[in-house]
Amino acid sequence: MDDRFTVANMAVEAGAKVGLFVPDDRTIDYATARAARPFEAAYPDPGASYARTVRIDAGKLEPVVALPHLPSNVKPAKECESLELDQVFIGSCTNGRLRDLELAAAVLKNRTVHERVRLVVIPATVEVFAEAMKRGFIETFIEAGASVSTATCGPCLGGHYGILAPGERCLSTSNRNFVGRMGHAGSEVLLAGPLVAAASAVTGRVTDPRELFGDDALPKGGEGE
Amino acid sequence: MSDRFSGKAWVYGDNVDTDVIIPARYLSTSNPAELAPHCLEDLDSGFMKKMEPGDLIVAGGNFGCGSSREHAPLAIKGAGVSCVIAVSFARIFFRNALNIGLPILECPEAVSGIESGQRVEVDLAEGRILNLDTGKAFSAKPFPPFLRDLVARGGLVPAVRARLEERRRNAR
Repeated sequence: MDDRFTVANMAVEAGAKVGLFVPDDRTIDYATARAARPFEAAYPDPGASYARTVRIDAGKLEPVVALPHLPSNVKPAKECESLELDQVFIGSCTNGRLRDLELAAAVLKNRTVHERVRLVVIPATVEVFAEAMKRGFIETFIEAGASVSTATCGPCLGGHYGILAPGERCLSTSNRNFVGRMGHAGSEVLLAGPLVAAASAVTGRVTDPRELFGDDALPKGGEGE
Repeated sequence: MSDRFSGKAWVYGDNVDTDVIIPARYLSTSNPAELAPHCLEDLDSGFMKKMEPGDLIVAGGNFGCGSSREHAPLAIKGAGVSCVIAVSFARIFFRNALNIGLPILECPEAVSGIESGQRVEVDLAEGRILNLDTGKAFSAKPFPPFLRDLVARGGLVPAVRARLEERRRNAR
């Protein structure tokens, strides 16, 4: 579910009106546990026709970052490794769920945040925060040198807690990197997933996590929600 | 509000996002008059100095992408912009604009036929856009009457209020 939320969230940044997943058992279980009243799931009609079908083999994708100042300005992370960072933000509605924090913690375990970098970690919800505490992720973040906040909106939109100064560059797991999005109009935001973000926080520059782990040893994370 | 207006056009490119239309650092208010001085600040810091009430914004594709903040059309409306003409609008901005009563038109031909500083006349009901400096006319698909009525009444909330008031009067 955690990864589906990320995909659904970013579909809108790609210009979609909405990003939907056909509900399966996992979706129904997730919704049933949280719904305040009975609900009816919506499914596509059998034989529904689509204006356009795009197939992407997610297993073949490699770690990428979106460079300033558009979410669609995407490059492989390993082609951007010369870009030094001042801040890394892991959290937000886009990538602040349990699996995201688990992946980030797997990278940061027994590692230290680069001396130039401020690492800000904000769980998306109180529920995620509490579970991340129980599983030891929060302790890992703190030991690595991160600053951890209670669940909130904040740095993603330049609200508070990690607002960028002129000339600063931040890699963020949030969904938008427009001019001035996280602070001063002269700052830069790069977008990436939690693995790239955590690896980059360690090295102080944009980093393909395979650089730290090798292809086969990349943390996979559990089921999340 | 009238369906016709004219003013100078200020032309911008594709993907004008809501963060540059009104940066988040000013979102502590939703008062259009307080938002207006910062309209387009991070895209064109000179915009509010050069524009006059009644002027138009002309832009490329995907205008208003990003955050769903209704402060974006509110800032534009508060600045006195009479209409935004774009190649296309991001979905949420499109509906936010209508909901707060900001006239908008989609017309790619007009966008390529208007340069910054040229005077433009717009007839919303007809969807007619006239470049007064070149004499070239363009036609956008006009919005259906119920949407024009929404904009004319100042947006969704005033329109619903008026409709409820009407219903109450008829019930008496």
